[in-house]
Amino acid sequence: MKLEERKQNRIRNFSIIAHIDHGKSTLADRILESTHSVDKRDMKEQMLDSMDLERERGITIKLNSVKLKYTAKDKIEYMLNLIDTPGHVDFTYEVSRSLAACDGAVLVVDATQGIEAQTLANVYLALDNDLEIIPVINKIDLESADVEGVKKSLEEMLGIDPELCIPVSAKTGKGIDDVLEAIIKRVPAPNGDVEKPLQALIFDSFYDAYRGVIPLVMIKNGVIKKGDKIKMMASTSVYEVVDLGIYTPKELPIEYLAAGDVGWISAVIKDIENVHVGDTITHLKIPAEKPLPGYRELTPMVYSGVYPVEADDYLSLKDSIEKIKLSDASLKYQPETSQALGFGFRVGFLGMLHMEIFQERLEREFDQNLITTAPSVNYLVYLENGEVLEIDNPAKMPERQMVKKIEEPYVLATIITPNEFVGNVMEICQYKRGVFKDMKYQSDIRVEIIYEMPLSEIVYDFFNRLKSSTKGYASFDYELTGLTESDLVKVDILLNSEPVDALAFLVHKDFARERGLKICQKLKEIIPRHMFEIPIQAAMGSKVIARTNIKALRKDVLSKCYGGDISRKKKLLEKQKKGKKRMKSVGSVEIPQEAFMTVLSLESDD
Amino acid sequence: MIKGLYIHIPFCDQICTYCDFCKMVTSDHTKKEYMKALVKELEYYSDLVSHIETIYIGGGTPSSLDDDLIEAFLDELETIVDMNSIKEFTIETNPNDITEKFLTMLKTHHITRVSMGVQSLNENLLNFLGRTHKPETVFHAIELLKKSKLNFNLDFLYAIPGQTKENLLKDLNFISEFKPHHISYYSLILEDKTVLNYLINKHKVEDFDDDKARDFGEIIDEKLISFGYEKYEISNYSLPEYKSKHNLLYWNLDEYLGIGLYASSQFNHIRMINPKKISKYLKEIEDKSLTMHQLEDFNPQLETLLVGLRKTEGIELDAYKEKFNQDVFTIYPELKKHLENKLLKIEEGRLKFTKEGMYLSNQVFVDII
Repeated sequence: MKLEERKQNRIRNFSIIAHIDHGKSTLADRILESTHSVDKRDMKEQMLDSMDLERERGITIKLNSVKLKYTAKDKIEYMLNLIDTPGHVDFTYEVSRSLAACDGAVLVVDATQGIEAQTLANVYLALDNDLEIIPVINKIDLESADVEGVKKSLEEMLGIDPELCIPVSAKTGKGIDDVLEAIIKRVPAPNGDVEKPLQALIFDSFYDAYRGVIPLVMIKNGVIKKGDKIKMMASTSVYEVVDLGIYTPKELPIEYLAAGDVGWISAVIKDIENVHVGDTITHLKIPAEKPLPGYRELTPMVYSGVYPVEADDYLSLKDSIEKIKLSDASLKYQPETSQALGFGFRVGFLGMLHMEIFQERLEREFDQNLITTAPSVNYLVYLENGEVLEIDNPAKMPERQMVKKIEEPYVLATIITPNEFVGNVMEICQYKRGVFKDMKYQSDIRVEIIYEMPLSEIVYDFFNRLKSSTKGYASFDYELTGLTESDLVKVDILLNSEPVDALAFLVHKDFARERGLKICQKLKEIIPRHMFEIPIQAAMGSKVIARTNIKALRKDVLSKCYGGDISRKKKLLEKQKKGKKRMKSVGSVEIPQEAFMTVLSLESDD
Repeated sequence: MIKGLYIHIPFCDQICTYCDFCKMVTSDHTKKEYMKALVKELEYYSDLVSHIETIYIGGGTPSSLDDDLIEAFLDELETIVDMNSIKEFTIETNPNDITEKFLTMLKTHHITRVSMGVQSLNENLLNFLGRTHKPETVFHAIELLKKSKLNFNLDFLYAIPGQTKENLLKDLNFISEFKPHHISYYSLILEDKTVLNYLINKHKVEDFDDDKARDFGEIIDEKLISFGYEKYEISNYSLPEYKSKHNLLYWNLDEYLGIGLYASSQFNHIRMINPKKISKYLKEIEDKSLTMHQLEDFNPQLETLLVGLRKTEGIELDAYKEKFNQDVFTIYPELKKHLENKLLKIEEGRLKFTKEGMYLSNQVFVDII
């Protein structure tokens, strides 16, 4: 289509906001189907979630966008750009950038569950971006659906007119056309200007082995064509556009992208460090005056040590992390050494899910055998001598007498729970050093509870506890509020009188003894008996605060061995030896891999 | 030179909960077919076994076969092996199967030694283990054995989940009363793919505490020695002159031939093993293709230690050096560490486990394997 013939008022850019399991991907599938974007033949469940991991966990990590043609009831053909967003709190910033590329958002709420904390957080993000919200109540085919109840709570919580709510069943396809019509009627067309200098918002990117980093963009103003010299306004790097196009959802190269369009750009970009989500692309020659608002650099919230089990695999691990980094700009890492674990990396993540996904990808896609240490947050440490240090690894915490004060990141946590669990939730929050802020009834049975609490306590098995004490019904979201001084101490774990750096942790002084003892006891379970007795101690400086012992091994013998057994018994011994090899020896003690995660998993089996 | 012959009978009347040996409950027809196949395999090796010194019929439960079937096989065996050169001929039995007639038949066919699986004299523990016999059956069987003048071994188990010290002392007391010539006293091992392992993994049964097992082991050592037994291997005790000659072949890494299902052999510097599946075994015997044995790794330098050190007398250092042209500590320098930590010792030119080492032998083996 020639640029002059193009009708910007027939474009609709929208995304779908939903909680995990509320049916976002299924709804997206139905939309693709009813716009004939995908042949039934090619249809696999949940078309837009491209990573196996995503489909398995039922979450969308990576954003995919797709251009759809839809002929509405007014007989006019519209172009719909569906920009999919991740649903998890770890990726709030990415969600906000995706939403910034849209003019409307379809809010999907499960008719049997009601609205959840993360969804609410994302709706607020959408409202911040002035998006038109199209409320959709899904799963109306289920017997336990409470459409009126959900309408009521949407009205109370978000001021949404119950009349505007569209009941659908993404599973059966009922109501999908109503959703599409509402997108056409209620979502405004993009208001950019083709004549203005280019401003293209990068809302995602991925790495292609042949073409390098491919940014996904929404053109706010202007036009971009093949051969254009472009500049990233924040990273200031310059490239030439080799190719560009859209997804239908198959990749389709086209001639140009103009104001209101959503698509991909290929420009031989080798380094993902130069492609920041939220950055603005403009022309080198006639640049825009200023970048689009809302850009910020991503800072990790959670840090963890990642080490190869076998020291020989260090280089291969490094290589794998570099490969993941190519498609994950938010990942930060640097080399680190541990006395106990040898050479490895300190890796910073946006949150716990991000960390888990990273570890799983290393193990699954890159076949790495890992030891990961318990996650930590970034502490600000003021020393007596006036120096200020950022510490993201408890092992690196300076001696107590040198420390004047420690500040730790705090968050505002929003928890939405059925009211029968309010007591449980508050108990956990109190236990996690939370300070009660507010409580609101969203409906007769659903309560929103707000606490201020240390991020480190959330990192430390908060989510599992919350889930298990609310039968999985509570949902949870948080935002960073700042740093607060805390009475924190470093606890060392000593095995056979030797401190093991990778097991050290920081904890509030009041919890030091209790947590130290739990870790000692857990290690006692995990570490196999040796030929000598092993004392396990938790210590604050030189003061031992908890201790237990692993008794010496007294029996390790194959009771039976005759002619026919020898080969089998040899295999058993070889297996035993292999198990021993997989352990890390620290001093004279062999420590199994999982021991290094105990600090994290401690409370999950209380 | 092949010194011993092992014959495997993989049949049982009932499978014990802890057993991971090659065994099955099957039809009489299969048993007959199998015994015929055994004869064929034996004939194939007849030149190698004509001058052996020991025979051992193990299982499974060889005594679970009908007497006629055993007798027919023993008849064939005598035509191939020169029974005059046999110094020890053992058969494994279940107490239920011991009758006067059975024992007479064994004696007629040159069997010199009966090994009987007693395991325990506590009825609850026997039930738990899936054994079909009762304590009274054992008493009766021993009476018959004594009368027959056959030399006999009793198998016992300790560290059975639920076993008390009282149970153990009762079993030991029984031994002092009946004085078998030989005792194999095994610590119950949890093997994969056994009912017992399943029960313990599902927490339906509590595993036996290792420390307590060690304590029980020491009680057994002490008591049996006080009764006049010599401990000559990790789990074996005998009255003077009644060590198991056949089993010593294994621990001395001497050559032996094994026939039957999943039986292994070791001679001419190879170890090999028969098929595990009975249909495959029968077919290969039928097709005369059993020469296509599965070979197993054989490492005499290592295995001399793995089996030799099981004996309380250990291994002779000079003999080792002569055989492999190298000192054992040169080949396995890790052994020195265990001399220092006193799991091993050298006495009169022999390398052997200390008392402590006997219970922690895997710690040494894992270092050299």
